[in-house]
Amino acid sequence: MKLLIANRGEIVSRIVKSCRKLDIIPCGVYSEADKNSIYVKFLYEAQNIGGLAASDSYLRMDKMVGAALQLGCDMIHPGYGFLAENPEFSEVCKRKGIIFVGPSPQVLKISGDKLRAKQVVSRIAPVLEAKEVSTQEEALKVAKEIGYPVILKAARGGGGRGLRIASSQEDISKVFESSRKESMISFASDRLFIEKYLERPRHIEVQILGDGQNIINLGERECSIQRRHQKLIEETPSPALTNEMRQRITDTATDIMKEMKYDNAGTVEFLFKDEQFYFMEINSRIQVEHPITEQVTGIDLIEQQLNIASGTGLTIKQEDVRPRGHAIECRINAEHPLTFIPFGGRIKSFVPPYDTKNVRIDTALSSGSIVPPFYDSLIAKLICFEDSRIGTIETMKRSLSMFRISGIPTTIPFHISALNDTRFMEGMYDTSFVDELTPFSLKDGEVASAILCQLPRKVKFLEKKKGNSNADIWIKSRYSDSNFDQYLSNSRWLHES
Amino acid sequence: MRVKVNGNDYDIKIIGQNVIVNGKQITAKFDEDQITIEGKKFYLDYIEDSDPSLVIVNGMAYIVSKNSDLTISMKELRAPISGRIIEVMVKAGDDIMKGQQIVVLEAMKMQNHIYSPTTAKISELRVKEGQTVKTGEILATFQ
Repeated sequence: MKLLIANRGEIVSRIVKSCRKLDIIPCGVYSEADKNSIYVKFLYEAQNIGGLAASDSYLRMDKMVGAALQLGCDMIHPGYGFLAENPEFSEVCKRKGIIFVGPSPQVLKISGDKLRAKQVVSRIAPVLEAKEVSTQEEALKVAKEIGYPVILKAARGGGGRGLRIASSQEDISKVFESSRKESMISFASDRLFIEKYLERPRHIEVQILGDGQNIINLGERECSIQRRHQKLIEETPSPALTNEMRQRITDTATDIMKEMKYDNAGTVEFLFKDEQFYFMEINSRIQVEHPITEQVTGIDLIEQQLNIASGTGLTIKQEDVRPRGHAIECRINAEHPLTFIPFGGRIKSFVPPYDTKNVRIDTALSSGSIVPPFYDSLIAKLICFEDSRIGTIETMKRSLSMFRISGIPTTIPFHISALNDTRFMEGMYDTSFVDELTPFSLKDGEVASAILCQLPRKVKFLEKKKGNSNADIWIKSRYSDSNFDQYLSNSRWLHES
Repeated sequence: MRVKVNGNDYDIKIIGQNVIVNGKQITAKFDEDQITIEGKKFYLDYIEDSDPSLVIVNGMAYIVSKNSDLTISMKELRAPISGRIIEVMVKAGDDIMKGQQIVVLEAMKMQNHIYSPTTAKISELRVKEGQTVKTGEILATFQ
């Protein structure tokens, strides 16, 4: 069997691992910007699909299917993001006789339409009242019925785009058009719906595996630590659930996916507040945060995805799922740690914490790697697991402060601050955690920073940024097209302000 | 030299290998991108070329400002990163507060909320929704 991985970065390296285990030959693709990326080296064969922007490369169905046919692949794994939840892509694969590693087009059509998914699920689980609206007048009327505050969402949406919160009539008139526009730009659909807005909820999801007949759950993940509706830290088990509540939420998720006759790996997402949970959406793909579930259950989720897609079916039963210990994932992004503005550029040194058996790092970077400005800013996932939650937090703190990434700013300082926050330590946090976070630092670090700022090395450091150093020439040789200027300016913006 | 780090004042004198912090001499050893103070190692992960400047040491963020009393009068707001303007929250002639949201700029799959660096009146707004901007491009000018 040969498999095409229609994605880039760390998830490619991750899928390759499971392929090797199952004797599947892993093939892949890369854009012009990823030509020298490390993940390409892990692939048996890889095709250059050109392009820099995702819309010219990883979002192009024709290029992906073309590469799969040319390389003689039997299957396509879409990873996460890009084409992962696109029903059309799954259908195109089917037409061309390629197995799509993900749910069937019928399932994707329901899960990809948030409103329709809610309708299907409302028979099984509590959902927050929601209604589709097409005009501002209608929006005002529906909001009044439901009661403020409300949230406007794109029916086809995801990743927090198109979301607007309104707590009054004036807010609706302010945000309606912009939400619609953003939905149109991001998802090519201006269908919106209005939903009751739950203030300060927790965000808890349940991992599901299914092959159409057997549907099982692998426990929950707590994902409340987010900025702008994008997750930053996840942990399992959730510190918010009693065993009884855990049973209820995981059973409900399993029932929902049974109703859908779900056939692959997927996640049911809930909002949780005051001992009550509400269905939010189904994510029909492998998720960024899947490793924490793998660490506590010992089950290889990608292996199961491949088993399900290739017709072998699920090789585990619900009784085989016995989670133990505690796992936390920190998503390390190439971003300013305080403003979260993304930052592409060249990584000078990349030295992960190697020290213990309880630390897992999913990444596709090393010293000298470039973080292209064209895709998302995730550069590494740091996953720690120990018997107890407190032990996991300690291991994570240690690992974060030992993780050396230099040359570009990363969100490591954010993670250290979050893990030192009493709300996190006590497990008492919700989706507003990040907004109320105080940066954590040390007194002796202040002295060190003050001195480091005045050493002659700083001058050397600055010279590099001026544009004539080896590093810039090195980058230039890789981006000799018209996007080069944009590339460099992207990686340098912080130095101009 | 006097600097402010995370809001605290430090007086630093470096004479060869001797470092005097707030009048007290300490033992420090310098190396490429790292410094050892009283036996503890500090790695410099990142340093921003500006004032105030973001410095990342041992994975923690420090804001170092050399001229703590300096108040910069801001005349314009520039795009911090190339991308597309998704939303414009203000118009020319508006009185805005420091920290008020001006535009939403989408770049690297992220919606970046760009805030006003100053309290002022907007004299000119140079971008509209849907437009793409380059790093450093002026988004708005202030009176």
